[in-house]
Amino acid sequence: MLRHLLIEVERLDFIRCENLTHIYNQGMENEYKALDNVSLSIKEGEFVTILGTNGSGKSTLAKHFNALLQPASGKCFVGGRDTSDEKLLWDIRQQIGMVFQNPDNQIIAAIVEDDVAFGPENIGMKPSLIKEHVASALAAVDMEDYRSFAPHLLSGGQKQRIAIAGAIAMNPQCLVLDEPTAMLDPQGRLEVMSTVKQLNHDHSITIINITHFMDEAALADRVIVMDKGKVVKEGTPREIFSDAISMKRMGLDVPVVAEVAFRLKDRGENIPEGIMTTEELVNALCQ
Amino acid sequence: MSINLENVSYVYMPGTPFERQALKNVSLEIPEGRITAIAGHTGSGKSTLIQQLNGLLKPSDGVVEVDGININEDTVTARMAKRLVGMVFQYAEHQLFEETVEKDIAFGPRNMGLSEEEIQARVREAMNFVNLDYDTYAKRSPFQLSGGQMRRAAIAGIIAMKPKYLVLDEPVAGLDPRGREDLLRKIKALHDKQGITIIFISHNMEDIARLADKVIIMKQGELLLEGAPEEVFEESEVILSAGLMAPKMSLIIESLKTAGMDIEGSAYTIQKGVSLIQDALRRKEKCLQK
Repeated sequence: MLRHLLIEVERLDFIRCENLTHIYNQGMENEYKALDNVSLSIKEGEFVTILGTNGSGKSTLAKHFNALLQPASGKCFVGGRDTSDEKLLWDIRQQIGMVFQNPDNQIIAAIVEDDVAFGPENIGMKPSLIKEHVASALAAVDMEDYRSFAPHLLSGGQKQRIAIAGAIAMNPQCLVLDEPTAMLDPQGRLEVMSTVKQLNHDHSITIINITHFMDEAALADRVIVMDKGKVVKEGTPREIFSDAISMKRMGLDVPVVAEVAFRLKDRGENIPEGIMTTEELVNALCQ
Repeated sequence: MSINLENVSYVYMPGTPFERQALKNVSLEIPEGRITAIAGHTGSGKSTLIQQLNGLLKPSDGVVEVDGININEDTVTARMAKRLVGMVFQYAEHQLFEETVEKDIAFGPRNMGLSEEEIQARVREAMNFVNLDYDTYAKRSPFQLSGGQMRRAAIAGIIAMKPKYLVLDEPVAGLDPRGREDLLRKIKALHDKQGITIIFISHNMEDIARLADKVIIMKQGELLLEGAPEEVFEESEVILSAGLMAPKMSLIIESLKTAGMDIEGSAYTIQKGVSLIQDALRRKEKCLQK
């Protein structure tokens, strides 16, 4: 019975970090603790945003999720697999797709279709299966019409969607996106975020999105806030953004609507807690 | 004095199958002493436009003048005029290359043939200005700095050349909220305290709303809108057609007005918007009391 329960817990937590600590340049003069005793879990199918200033440990954490880094102490489990077990590295990396900030550094082939096929080819997938995976990955990011295009002719948002297609062509259970929209214009940002949202909703892919854009964080089921290598806050976007003061103290921010609601409340207006959207603000003010 | 573009067109790779017109007949004025923001979708011609301002690209057609001098003529005065315009590219930290922060910042001034004392003085002044403590950072490798610090070191290298016009291509892209805030304040101070004319590219209408006194919006190589922020942000439909979004605050105010709230005027900064909403709430209370 107990054993059964344990298995059940593992199935639900897709990623689990237990007292995870990471130290760069260990034993050297410029030793630096980037992660300090981090414990957290991310559920299967969840959409989580990680916020934090530069140097707070977000990207270091993300690199533990696909075993690019090894814990100095503590553990990180992905799909129940221990990332410090070398035999499991490839299984872990196949489950986690990574997408980074600069689209131009991630695209390698001269034709969109070939670029998306690169990952599946590398893991020795059968050609017939590759074709199928590439087609469905391009469909999932809504880029089928561009399959024979040269990537350099695409916009920033389109390139990032190709990078995402390349990651999901490997059939991962989880996508880790490290500031995927930092270099995009507003339209490109919208495109990428709606693609990510759709992958989470329609394909049940677990999403971990690292961002500096507060309005993107608002799309997530849950927000994790990091500061100086520690997890300092966790909650729904509504919970996190209702505390504008502590977010600003950490060098972060809140979405514009939340800021407006906060300032009105601060000046003594009768406004309910936790306003996140323009619609909610309109309802609160125009009853 | 000002930078003036007259009917400037620019064609990439003319006469090849890849020929593409990046600027079409652009005429505009960038006035001295102001902060001018340039916005536009990827591929709208913003970056091509700013590279015309100091002669990095020569117009295929049309004239670029800095303080009344055509910078694309082959004369000494034209070369001097180009030097008035300093350029900070996107992800400026990628252009750091020297062994120490100090040497990197000194590179531009040294190329200008200044004396060692003058170079020293300028490096200190520029570092001080971007909040990099000289004693702490001068001898460090620029590659050991944080992202925000590297960006500021790169900007210091341009400031040390004392340009009259400073052009920045998306200066705060990729920085965290505090890094953005710090750097935007520094840019504002360059304008307010040192009197440098600022021209910056941004996708972020909130930043533009806070900083700029003139906004230029580009679309497909053409000048779409030009004017004071309050005029330009009124045109939220046109802005949307350019693949951009008006500042969130002005959209919130529009939604509240549509829902019947009695708001007078418009606002594109949070501060002004909150005041307008409060005024409207006061009026509503008075109405209810009567």
